Amino acid sequence: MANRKSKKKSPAPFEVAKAESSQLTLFIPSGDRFENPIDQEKLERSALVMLGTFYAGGTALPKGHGVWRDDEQGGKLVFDETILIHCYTNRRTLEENKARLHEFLVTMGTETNQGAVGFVIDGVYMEIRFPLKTQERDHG
Amino acid sequence: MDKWIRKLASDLGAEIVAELPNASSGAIGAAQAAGFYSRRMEELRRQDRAAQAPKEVSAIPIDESTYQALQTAAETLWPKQKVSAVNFGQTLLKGLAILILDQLTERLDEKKQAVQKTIDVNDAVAEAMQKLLNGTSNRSA
Repeated sequence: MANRKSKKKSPAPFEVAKAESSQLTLFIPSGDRFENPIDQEKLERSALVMLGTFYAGGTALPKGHGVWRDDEQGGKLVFDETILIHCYTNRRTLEENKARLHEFLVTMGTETNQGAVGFVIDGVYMEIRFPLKTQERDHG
Repeated sequence: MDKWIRKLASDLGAEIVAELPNASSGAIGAAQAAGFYSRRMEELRRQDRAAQAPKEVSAIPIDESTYQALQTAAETLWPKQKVSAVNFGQTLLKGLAILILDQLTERLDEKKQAVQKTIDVNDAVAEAMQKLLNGTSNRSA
């Protein structure tokens, strides 16, 4: 009897199910809500440790030096040196470790006095806001 | 945007701000995401600055005799608390503004009720007219 070749297709090397893959992007700011400089390297390191521990890895892109013109402030040039960290993961891992991510984002936001921390999951930009404290609002 | 993303955002205590479909596509996507982030942060800083801006102080000119009257009234009403003429005047104005708004609201309510009564009367007249017309057409048939 001739051997029939199995019709079942074996997965190609390094093939991953697309439905399973997700991308998380974190933004590491260079200043606080009043543009005072902060320890960005320390934050970058903490983010990488968190992603490495709970999401199996992450890649911080080299700091890009950007500028854009803010026409609402009379054409003021806004310079930015944000660090982006990409993490390729999946929904299950995101779901299982959401408390860790939340903790990291809230700690970063409060300890470095941010107005908000932004992040992107599967192309959706979201942010956790930190309202101005009464003292900051009343006295600057 | 699927339900899972919305649920995750809610679980993270986050607010969904925008969709950045190219955020995951290489260096250009990263540059776009960084640009979006930077603009968003500047927008929030602007909101912070607006919240911190000193509140408007209204200078209301008053003559000497009014000032004296306010001071005398404040001292008489609260002899131990040291209420200044300005504080008393400020409180009076606030109370008066509330009273005026209250009365205006009452007047509006009365007007509303009057309009509703007119509508009810009109409806009743229309209904009676309809009945009358129906009765006439039945008889003629």
